[in-house]
Amino acid sequence: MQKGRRFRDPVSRREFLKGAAALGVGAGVAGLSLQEAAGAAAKEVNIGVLYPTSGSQARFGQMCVNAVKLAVEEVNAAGGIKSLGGAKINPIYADIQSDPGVTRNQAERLMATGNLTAATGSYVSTYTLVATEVAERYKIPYVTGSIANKLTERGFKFTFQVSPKANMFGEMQMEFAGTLAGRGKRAAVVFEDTDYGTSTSKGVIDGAKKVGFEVVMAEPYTAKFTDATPLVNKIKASKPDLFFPVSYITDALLIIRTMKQLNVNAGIIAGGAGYLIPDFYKDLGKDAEYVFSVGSWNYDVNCAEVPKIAEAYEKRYGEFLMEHAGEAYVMIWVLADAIQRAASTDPLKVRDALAKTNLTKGPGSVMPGCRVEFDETGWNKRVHPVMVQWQKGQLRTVYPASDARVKPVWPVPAWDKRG
Amino acid sequence: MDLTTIFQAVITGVLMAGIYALVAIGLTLIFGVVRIVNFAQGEFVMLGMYVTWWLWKAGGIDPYLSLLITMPVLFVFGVLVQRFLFRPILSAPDMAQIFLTVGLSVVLMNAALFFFTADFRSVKTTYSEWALRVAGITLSVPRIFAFAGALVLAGLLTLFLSKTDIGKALRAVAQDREVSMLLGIDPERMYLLAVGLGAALAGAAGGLIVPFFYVFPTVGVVFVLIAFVVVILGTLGSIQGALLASLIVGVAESLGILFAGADLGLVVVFAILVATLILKPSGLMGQA
Amino acid sequence: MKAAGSPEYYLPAGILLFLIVLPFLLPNPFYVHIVVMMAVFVVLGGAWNLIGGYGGQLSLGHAAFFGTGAYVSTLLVNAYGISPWITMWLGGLAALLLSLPVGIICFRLQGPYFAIATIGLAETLRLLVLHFRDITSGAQGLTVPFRGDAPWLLQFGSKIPYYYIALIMAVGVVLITRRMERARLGHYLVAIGQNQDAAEALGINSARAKARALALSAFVTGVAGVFYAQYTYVIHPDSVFGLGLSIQIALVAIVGGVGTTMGPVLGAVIMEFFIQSTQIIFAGQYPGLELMVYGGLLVAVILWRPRGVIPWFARLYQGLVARLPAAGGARA
Repeated sequence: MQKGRRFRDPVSRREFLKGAAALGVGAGVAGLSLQEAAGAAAKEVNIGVLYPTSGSQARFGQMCVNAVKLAVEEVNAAGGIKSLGGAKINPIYADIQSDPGVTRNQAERLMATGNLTAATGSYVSTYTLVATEVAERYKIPYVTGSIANKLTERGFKFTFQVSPKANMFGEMQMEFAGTLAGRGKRAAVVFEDTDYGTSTSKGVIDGAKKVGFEVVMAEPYTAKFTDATPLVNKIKASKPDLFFPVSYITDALLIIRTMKQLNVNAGIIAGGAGYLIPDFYKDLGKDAEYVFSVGSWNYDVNCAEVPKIAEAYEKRYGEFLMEHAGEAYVMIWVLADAIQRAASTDPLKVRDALAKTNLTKGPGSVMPGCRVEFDETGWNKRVHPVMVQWQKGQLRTVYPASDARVKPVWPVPAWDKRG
Repeated sequence: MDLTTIFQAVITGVLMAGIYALVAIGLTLIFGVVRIVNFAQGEFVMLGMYVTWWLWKAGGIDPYLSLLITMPVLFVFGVLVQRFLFRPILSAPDMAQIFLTVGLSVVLMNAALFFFTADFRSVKTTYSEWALRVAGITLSVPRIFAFAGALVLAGLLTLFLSKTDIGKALRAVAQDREVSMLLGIDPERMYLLAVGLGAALAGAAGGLIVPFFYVFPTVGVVFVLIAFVVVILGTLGSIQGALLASLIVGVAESLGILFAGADLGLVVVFAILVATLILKPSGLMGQA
Repeated sequence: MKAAGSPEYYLPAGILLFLIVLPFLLPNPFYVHIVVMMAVFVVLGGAWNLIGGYGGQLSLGHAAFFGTGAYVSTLLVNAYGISPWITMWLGGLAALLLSLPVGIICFRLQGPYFAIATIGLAETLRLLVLHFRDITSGAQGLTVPFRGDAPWLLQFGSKIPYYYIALIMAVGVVLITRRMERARLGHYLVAIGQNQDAAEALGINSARAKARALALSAFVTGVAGVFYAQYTYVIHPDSVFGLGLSIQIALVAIVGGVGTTMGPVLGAVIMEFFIQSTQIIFAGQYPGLELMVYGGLLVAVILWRPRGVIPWFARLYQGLVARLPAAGGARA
């Protein structure tokens, strides 16, 4: 007892409630009330734009936001939403910091306080899965270019996916690989261990058997490495004829550099993302040549409006419009079209209009297939991935035939036979 | 699995150890003297990389030559950090110190994003892609330079600490602050020197890594976790320990990727760390 | 003797009342979300404080317990349809079981060695959850299926029920802390935290005391993980096992003041306030600025009060109590 008293805190009950008082500060946050909500007169349509513009995915997120900015300006310059008396689109940006927890918070904030008509984002499927869960509860339509199958296979009413689904990428890669004359049969598959890598590579591995490939290696890897040599060394030992990597950025660059160093001459059929951004060619230069990749979009997609869009973006930002940023651009026009038809800023009406989307022309239609039409799950059933190849510093679509702008260069010269 | 593949993995692991050692030496020096576990060390390296990149981009200065500028710049930066951030909390609990450096790392990482954008930068030199091929094994030349640089810097630092008066004074402060004061050493100045040197070493690491790696705001994250494992495994404050531990970690990671799986290289490293600590709770160089 | 009308009584009672009606005062669900997150971090910081604050063991791997709770529960809910009200305890228990080997491995380690070893263990667990994706669904994460208003499945259409659950958990942790503080375990831990050798010389079994505190801490953290999974609908290895979360948990206690009952409470409120206000004020306009300011605030608050904000706040509170009139006197 003696001892007990010594340690007793004489003000502990007060301490308890004093902390409770501090919780009241939470209410104080309300004082920082959002200006966004106030400006929501009939003249503007608020669209939440959630991309990771800081943290590990910042490079991708910023390119997407750039594309959104361009699209919003174009929509507004073309007279805004005419059925709403020329109302302007007012994008409300939120940085989700490459973090699912922050994504939850920002989605919650915009949807509860932003007076949103709709929202769009968030590049990485993991973040989009979180954001669309919130959107479903707030009943705000969310248009995304993320690829996870799960996004539109949960029975959600408010998620709309303009992009091909994850499994289609691997299938497309394998279908394309099957068309390459004189190819070997040994396929090595490596993928970074996030959802993007695991879900797209699954399609590759499953597809391999159908086309008669032998999968000699299929492994996830942790992308934050300082040296790709251990990985490439292992790939080399599996003696592949074709190599299917799914990577983000530094891992993509290091893998290609190291393949050259270790003289691994398998044909490279990559899984998008890091293989399709300006930094890839900027860093690797001619070593990037002949690399194939699957993509959900490309700046030479075979639709009438694309060259003008690609040119406008390049003129403004000094680099080409990359895969996912292209989709980010398209999605703003898809939203503008739905709001126009709904003639309302009501999220429920816009959702119903989105569900009836059937765009066959204009900048809202320029996904591969040149048509955006959602099925009952909210997925753009008209879309398919394309195969591209780095040729003379340009990413060119080479497959399928309906989309191809040039012929694939095949077989690819060995590293030591290049000029 | 043929022998060449295994040899290649071992040699690659050794070269990776060079990078880990470069980052770890500065970390272990700062801890050894000032007793602060610096969670911002990776961001110090990131700053060194940006300085190197910028000197190359704007002035065409070769990364190795620019060490002569990068290291002093980072030294001054370290001195400022010690003077204005670490000194006020030297007598505070360890936890406050650690989380101060966590806050600093968040600031630096995002300042880099804010000012330099998220672009991935790289330095192109004639030797960036040089490689040696010996008996079927390939060695990247700039990585060999980085490894040699780590050895040279560790050697110079050891010499400095054991042979010069200032170095001895640093060690005296590291061992016993009160006694060193009786000997007429000003510990505050030694702390400035230690953090300055620790940052300069991070700058050197940045300069030596840039020729074969990429510069971006979150690049520090790639190095820092492994560097922590290295300094703990090799006993905090021990430069030789850090070198030895980085060799173990580099080779273990490389072989782990080969034999356990490319996503399990780090698991092997952590397993070695935990196993070592069970046997030797204060690292390889500590008392059992 | 003090009258019931003394501010020492009516102020705390008023605050409690305020907390009970708070969700109805907040203008929209987002602010309820903020206070729910505050309460979750009160629970996490408070649980961390049991071993990190009182026991002086700087754990940077508490996400391991959080993630274990979240994953065990969500896997059971999804596979067998068990109510989260039951799996909540199982998740906590799983975290507790995990804490036993962690304790055996780590409690011989001192200072930074302990801290880095706990990081290593949590990271290992994260990598293994990613690796064994047949069981855990790997990087895809787990989703709690959306059922609308289903109280038995711990799902509600409104945020207000979540708020009350989180509030009860937060109050519970504060009460547990107070109880431990007074019990023998608390005294042992404080003694160990101050000087482990001296404590052992006095006959305290430090390993056992620390293991008990860690078990309790892990259990509470695991339960909080279950709540979080239910509240946030989606969990991923990176979000519930990540180093960032471990740091955030410890930070709450350290900013508030370790080894005090109310430190983590205050810390959770301050940190959540920093996070939300930077996100609201800068609103994604300049990439990096939000986190730069957040990091700056963190550095500033630690420089200002390296031992936590609680002593400063306690003085403020005492001053307020002294200045307020008695409720009876006010009428005169």
